[in-house]
Amino acid sequence: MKRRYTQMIFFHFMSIVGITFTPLSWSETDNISYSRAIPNLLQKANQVNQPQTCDINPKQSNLEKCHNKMDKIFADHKANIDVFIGYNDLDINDKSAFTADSIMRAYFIDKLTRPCSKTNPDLCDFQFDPNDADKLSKKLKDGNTVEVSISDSAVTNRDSANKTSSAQKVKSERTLKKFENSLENTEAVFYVGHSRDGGGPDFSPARRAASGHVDYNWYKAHQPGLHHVLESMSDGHPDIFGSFSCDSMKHFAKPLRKTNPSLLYFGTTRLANEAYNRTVPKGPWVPTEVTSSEVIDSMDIAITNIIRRDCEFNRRFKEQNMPTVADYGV
Amino acid sequence: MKRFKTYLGLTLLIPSLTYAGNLSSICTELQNSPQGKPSKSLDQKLNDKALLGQLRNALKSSAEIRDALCIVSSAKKSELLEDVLHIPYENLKPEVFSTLYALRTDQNQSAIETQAFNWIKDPSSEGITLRVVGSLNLLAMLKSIAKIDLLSPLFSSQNTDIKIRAYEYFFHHYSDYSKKDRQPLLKTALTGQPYQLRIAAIEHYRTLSEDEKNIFRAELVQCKKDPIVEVREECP
Repeated sequence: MKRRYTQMIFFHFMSIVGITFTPLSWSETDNISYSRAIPNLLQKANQVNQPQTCDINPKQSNLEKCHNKMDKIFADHKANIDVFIGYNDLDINDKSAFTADSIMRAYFIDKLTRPCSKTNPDLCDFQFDPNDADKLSKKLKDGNTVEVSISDSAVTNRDSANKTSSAQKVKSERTLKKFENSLENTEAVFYVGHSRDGGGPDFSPARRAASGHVDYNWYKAHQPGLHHVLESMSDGHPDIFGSFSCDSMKHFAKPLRKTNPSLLYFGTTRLANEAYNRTVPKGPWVPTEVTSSEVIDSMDIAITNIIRRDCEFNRRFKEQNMPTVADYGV
Repeated sequence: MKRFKTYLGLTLLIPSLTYAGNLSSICTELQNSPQGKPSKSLDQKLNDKALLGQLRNALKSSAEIRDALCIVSSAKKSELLEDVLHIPYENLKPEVFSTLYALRTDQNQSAIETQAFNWIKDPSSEGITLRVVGSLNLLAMLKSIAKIDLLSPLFSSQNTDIKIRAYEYFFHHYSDYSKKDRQPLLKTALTGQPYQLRIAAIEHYRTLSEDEKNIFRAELVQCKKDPIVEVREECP
């Protein structure tokens, strides 16, 4: 009891002199001796008094690691970012009805090519490469160039037609091969699509059980997409990988970290119907800004920060209420 | 007066509370019901006259639009077609396309097509790629044939994505176009930019009859010397 009073007086004193900090919980302090608690608290108070230049709950090492990656990415004055849109089959009444790839691709391209403005000075004014339909690029004010490549998976918007189409098979294989190649050779690789409950990334029509549902048991047991990723990845390659798909932090962070410990990884922390935004802009129908998909919007934030060489990813995700977090690696 | 205010308050509050939860639960119920076999209670809800008004409001107010679209498409509420057609395209995304597709009948197909054609033609708003690509998707799903004069500007678009998607649409309906219209376009595509267009054109070329293939012999001579590996790999 006496210890608690002393601690309370101490906190009160610290708050009077203008030092704020996150105190240890009572349960934490109860388990340590008083003589150790004071230096710990002082250390915490000092840490918080350091100028905050890093992320939320900053770790200097995270910032350093991230800036080193940024320097590496821009070393040849050109940052390459490869974006892969997975096979986005959307079910209606448990029946696959529609494949959203081309819509998501178009939505993302419109974001890249919109005119720059004061409020949006970075992710804008990208130009099409006349020789390559998948590439858009932009020259930055500092003389560097950012090149974004976009690949998608579905040949048509009808899942039923794609499933039996030989062209779909070819396109799925082609996109997967390109994805593997990017993981080996490109600095930043982003995937937007289904996690298939840990079986993704996936560039093909879903494998389905007899009931018609996506066969999540099979995906969980075999994890085909993850195997492809792990086979193509190695330590330091790529520098950045984002899986903007359902609950991808839970599904993929651990195995990715094991294979590529220094990877800067972006993952989402929610399930599909939340990750794919179900909220539509409020108010009258003035479609000035489309919030079509949190997964694409999260990716936009990541790319914008890369363009700015701004490593405060988590702060930006939080500001925009995105279900995405950055894990900076070891 | 006080009682009246309480009564008025409750009268206004209760329907709005009912409305707030209703559509979402009906949509979930529909999604969970076995195909084509809605339960009696669900059937009752879907046939409730008040529901139509609620759906109409929801399609305008935006807060519950996805749930409303889910019900409209699943229950094929074609009387709401006009309301769906008037939702601005940029906010639609796949749900509205699916809904329009689900609502198609012989009678209303031309109304849906007209809207898709209008979306392609209207260059005024932002989100032009989304608009054009989405419209082509919808037309493809309806198996409509876009007229060449409508597609022509898209074939020469600086937006390479629109260009590719327009050609893909054209290839998809190739046999429905006249030889006079289609052959010069395929010739252009076989030697055109970007390289993905050449690949798509070669892939389409493979599907042609031997007679028609002969017409494009000259264009294919360059294929094996193409600067892009992926194109060379596709050469017939």
